[in-house]
Amino acid sequence: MATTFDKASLALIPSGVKESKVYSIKPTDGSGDFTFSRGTDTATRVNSSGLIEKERGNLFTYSNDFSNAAWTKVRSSVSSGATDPFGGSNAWSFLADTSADQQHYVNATISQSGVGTLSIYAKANGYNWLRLRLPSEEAYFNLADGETGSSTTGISASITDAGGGWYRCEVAISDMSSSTSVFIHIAEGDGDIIIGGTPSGTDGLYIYGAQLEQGLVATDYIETTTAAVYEGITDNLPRLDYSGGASCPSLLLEPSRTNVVAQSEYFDGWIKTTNGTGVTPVVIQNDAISPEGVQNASKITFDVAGGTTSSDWSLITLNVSGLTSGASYVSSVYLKGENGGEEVLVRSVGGSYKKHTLTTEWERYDFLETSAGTSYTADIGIRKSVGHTINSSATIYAYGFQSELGSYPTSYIPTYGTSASRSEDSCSKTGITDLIGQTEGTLFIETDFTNTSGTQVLFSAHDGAANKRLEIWSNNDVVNGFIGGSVNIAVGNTTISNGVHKIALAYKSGDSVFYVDGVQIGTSATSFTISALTTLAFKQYTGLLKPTEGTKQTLVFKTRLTNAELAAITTI
Amino acid sequence: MKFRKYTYASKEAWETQKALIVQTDEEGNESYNQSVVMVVELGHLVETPAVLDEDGEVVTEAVLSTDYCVDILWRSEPHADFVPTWVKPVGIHTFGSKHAAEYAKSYCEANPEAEYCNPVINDDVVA
Repeated sequence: MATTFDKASLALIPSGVKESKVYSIKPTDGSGDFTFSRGTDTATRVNSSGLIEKERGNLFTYSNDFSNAAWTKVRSSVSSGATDPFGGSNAWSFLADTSADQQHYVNATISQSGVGTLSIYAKANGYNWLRLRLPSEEAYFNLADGETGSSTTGISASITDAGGGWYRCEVAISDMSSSTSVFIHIAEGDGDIIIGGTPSGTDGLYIYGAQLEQGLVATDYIETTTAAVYEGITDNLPRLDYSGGASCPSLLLEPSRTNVVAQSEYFDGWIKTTNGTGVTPVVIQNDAISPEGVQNASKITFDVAGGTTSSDWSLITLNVSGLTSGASYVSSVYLKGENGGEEVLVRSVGGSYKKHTLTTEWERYDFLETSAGTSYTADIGIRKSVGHTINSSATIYAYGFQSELGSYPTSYIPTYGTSASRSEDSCSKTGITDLIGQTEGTLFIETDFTNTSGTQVLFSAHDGAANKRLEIWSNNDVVNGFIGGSVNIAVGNTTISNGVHKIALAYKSGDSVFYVDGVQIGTSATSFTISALTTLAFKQYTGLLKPTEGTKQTLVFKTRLTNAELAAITTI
Repeated sequence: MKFRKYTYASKEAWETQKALIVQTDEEGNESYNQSVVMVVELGHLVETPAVLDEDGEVVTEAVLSTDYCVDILWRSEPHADFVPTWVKPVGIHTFGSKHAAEYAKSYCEANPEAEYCNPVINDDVVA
């Protein structure tokens, strides 16, 4: 006996995606696969492990071909074929030549900006010290004992044992735009890049896999040749999102947004401010595992040392500009406490302090406010007597501060020194007249709905014209079933809450019906004709009114399902 | 895709140029046409930040540029009538590292003499 699913002409249950495409599981010949676009690489998702996932990339060319002209060899030589950290023979012997009392290094030019991390695998081979340098920052690494040496006041330097005498050495810096070259030195000791006397010509280091990437930490190595290589949530990769601990993903569709906070993760780059009894906040960058699953969260200690007045504060602060005065902004930040129970204030667009009591688990705190002007000062910390009773000290962890124009928070947009924008998601399929019922049929969606305080078309079938369209759409929190054919028919509407809902619009001249969550919302006995429906889309026929939703499944039927079937498939 | 930055004498001047990349549907709704991925109107940039008091109230208003600034991410080649402003990479706003890198490369192609594009590489210790 055929199930309702068997009757579907098209089924999109988000599970398989690739660049610019969302696979439908039915039909199986690919004719029902949706086209997807976004176009910016600032998007993130929550992956199946519950972690925030970004795009990541290796911005170097020829990341493991140090013989290439991309790497200038200065009083040094490189030769391939050395045993690498993973048991292959892809590492390089990097030797100092016999020039006496000189520096010996390789360097490459870069064209980047913002917070970035340089990393490389290295192993001692006659010399024990590696120096990584960008013009504004440097760090030394002891490859004999796996310890970091001296470094400038950049963000951080770290060394990780990779086994077999290999270490992955990394240094993060606050602004790559001041660093148009990177240098990898054979060093004689900590802080000593002049190799004294005459080198033997056979001593140096082994090196493997250089990587330069945006962000505060080195991620898994990506090999490159002629161009930078990017992985993760790239420009046009549809996002299968597991937010809220979902076991099955949603296809995340969001509008364009800009995070106007220029440093969303580098809290050590925020200004530390105190007054009265306040103690200067202590920020330890890259101290803890963030919601991203990597060690780039900041540990921050605030203390007003018993102060009691509004003149007593211990805060970190960042000036944010570029706002539209009088507009609604939603700000958000991930926070957790060291022990749980910590109280902390956050001040954002609106200028007033919000108090949050933290747990030992990461939580994204968000707050909707109206901007008073074109700029504001973001604060995190402790200040007494500003409308809240609050403890005098707290040690917390912070990650991912975001302020975006809109009435609800969207997925995290990381920033590394400038504001950053994510463009809208767009998903549709054209030229599938044969998969859409032209005289009768059913559209079904299961969607994680967000009230955007506006109009959005959650799903539609159309032919690019007002009189050839079927729409499941919403205005604020009211969801509607609509037929735009020879006549316009509002089949039904009802109020829904934010969250997951199952919605079906069944259409047949004189016998149309609208179901939401197992309940018949409305019917229509109006006769109509509609034809040449060619396109399925998560937007209006005009291309506008794209939704904010997480699409869990979409089914299209070429028949008007029975009311019993509609009730069954829409029951939560 | 191409990331370019633009400066106009006023918002009105931008609105005039914007018309070249705006389409209107049959219901009168305006949207950008397919030539652009995204447009971000940065507006009048802050030249001198506002001075705020401890309660976040403005003591001295920010000094804003008279120019009206716009960032555009083009789907392919930029519209020929749009003349970019070559701000040192990458200014105050980005569409992501990949597009920032493309912008920086184009910046140096357009401004080969710029200091940014001619790094001084030496053996000295940290600058």
